[in-house]
Parts: sequence; C-alpha cells; structure tokens
Amino acid sequence: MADFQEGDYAGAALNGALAASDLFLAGSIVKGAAKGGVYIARNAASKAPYSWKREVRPWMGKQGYLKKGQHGHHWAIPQNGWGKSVPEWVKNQPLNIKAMPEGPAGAEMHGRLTGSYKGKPKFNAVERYVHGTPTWSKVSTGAAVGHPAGAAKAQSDKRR
Amino acid sequence: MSLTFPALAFRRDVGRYSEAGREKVDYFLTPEDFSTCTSWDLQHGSRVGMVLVGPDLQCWKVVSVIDQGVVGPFWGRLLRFLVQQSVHRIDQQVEALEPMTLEQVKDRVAASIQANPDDWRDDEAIAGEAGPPREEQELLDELEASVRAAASLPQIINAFSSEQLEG
Repeated sequence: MADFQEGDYAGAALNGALAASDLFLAGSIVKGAAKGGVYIARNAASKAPYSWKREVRPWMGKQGYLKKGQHGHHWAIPQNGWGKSVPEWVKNQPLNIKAMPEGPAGAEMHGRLTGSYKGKPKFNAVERYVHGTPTWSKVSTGAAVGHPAGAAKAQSDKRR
Repeated sequence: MSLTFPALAFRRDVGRYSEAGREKVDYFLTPEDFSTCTSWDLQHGSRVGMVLVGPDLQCWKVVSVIDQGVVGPFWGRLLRFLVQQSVHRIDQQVEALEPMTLEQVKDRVAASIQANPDDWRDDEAIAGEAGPPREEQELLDELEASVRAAASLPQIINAFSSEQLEG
C-alpha cells in the first residue's frame, strides 16, 4: 500500500503478488493435507503398508485424487535413483505425487520427465519444471524467490 | 464354522469414479484388520455385500455393518481426524455362502485385475523410468499369470500384493 501511495507501482505489484501467493500457498497446503495430501496406512500388519503400487496408488484412485488412466509422478523424491533409499512412507505420500494428464499423453509426459520415451527426448529443465511440479510447489518457489527480492528492494528504498 | 484368515475379499466399486457392476479385490490378514475400516469406507458402504473367501475356500458375505466408533491412541486419532482418515471399529454380520474352488477364486481375481487397470498400474514401468517402457496390458497379463500360478489362497494374495504369506 505504501509503495502504491508513493507511486512505486512495480514495488506495490510485487508485494501484492507475494501477499496473494502466501495466502494461496498457505490455503493450498492446509487444504492439500486435509484432502489427501497425507496418507496414513490403516493396516499396520501389512508387509508394505506404504507400497506405491499396492497401497497408496489404489487409495489415491479410490479417493478420486487420481482419475482413471492417470499416471502419478513422484515429483520431489523419485521412486528410482536416489529415491530408492528413501523410506516408502516418506516418498509415497500423495504430497509427492503429481497427477499427469489422462491417457497415453500422461504416460508420455511421465516418461519424458525422467528420460527419453519411445524415441522422444527427455524434457529440458524448464519443461520438467512446468510439467513435473504441482501448482502449490510453483507458488512456493515464487514466494521463496519473491520474498528475498522484496526484502532487497525494501533495503534499497531505505538507503535512498 | 467361522471366517478364517487371511481372507480374500471381493467388494463393490464405490467412490467418485466408481462403475456399477465392477468388482474390486481386497484382503484381510487378521481378525483385527477385518474389524476396522476408515471413515471413507463407512461413508461409502464399501463393506456391505462384500464376499470373503478364507484359506479353506469357505465363502462369507457381509450383510450388515455397525459402526462402534473411532479407535486408536489420542494423537493418532487427532492426526487421522485432521487428514480425514479416521479408523473405526465395526461389527459386521456375515452369512455363509457355498465354498468356491481355487480355480473359481482365480478366475474372479483375474477378472477384477483386468477390469481395474488403475488399481494395478505400474506407472514407472510404463513410463520407462528404469528400463524400456512396458505396455500396460502386458503388465496386467503378467499379474494375472502369477495369480493363476498360485496353489493356495494365501499364494493368490501374495501374487497381487506385497505380502509373503505362508501356505
């Protein structure tokens, strides 16, 4: 508001966007956790209560978080590679799953996030970021970059 | 004569993307496992009408479910309440059905596997995350083949789950 009153429209826009993103992010995280972002196994007697294929994936489908034919991509902690050493109850949480588009396009997108897929090349870093991270993560990245930028701008305004 | 465990279960498809007439496969390892369910299961009535098959191939049908309230330690109950996954103790009335043969059980499990590819999808294998991409139907057929190779009910459960039951 102060930026706007002082005629600093760019600063006002940055601060406004950051405030909106903070609200959206906080809302998304709370809603996400309550609406399926976290899975708690019911059956402790099961051999692998947090198995992706046998427990968490069917649960996400049953709850409606993954539609028919939709792939689920482990976006932050991969299933394979370095993610193999991460416990299943951590990496197989719905918060770590990004739903891919329905049908064959989803399989292709999922494949190209981690490597080449049926002759098509692996996505570049920007494409992987756009297609492979959930919206709430993109918003938090914006906030993480935006807040230091906002702080730096405030410092420079003070010096003036 | 009573229901014995582990028990394989065939239940109705319920929930947001359910389809009438489609059957899902489930299993229960212990009586404790069978006597609890989540609030979601209660809300959608997923247990009513469920057919259970014990290791002796005797079959049972759940005819009524009575909610006896939320169970678990305080902090666990609180956490589960916050993420809408409360566990309830339930009292289920079951009635005996005619026993099935092992082949009949395998046929029914195989039909459910083929009718519910979303429950069995190996996303990483199809996407080719660790090796060349696999076809979904090929993976379903492999799963069905491992079910058909089973020599007992516990082995059928082992074939489609992560369990390592004996028998």
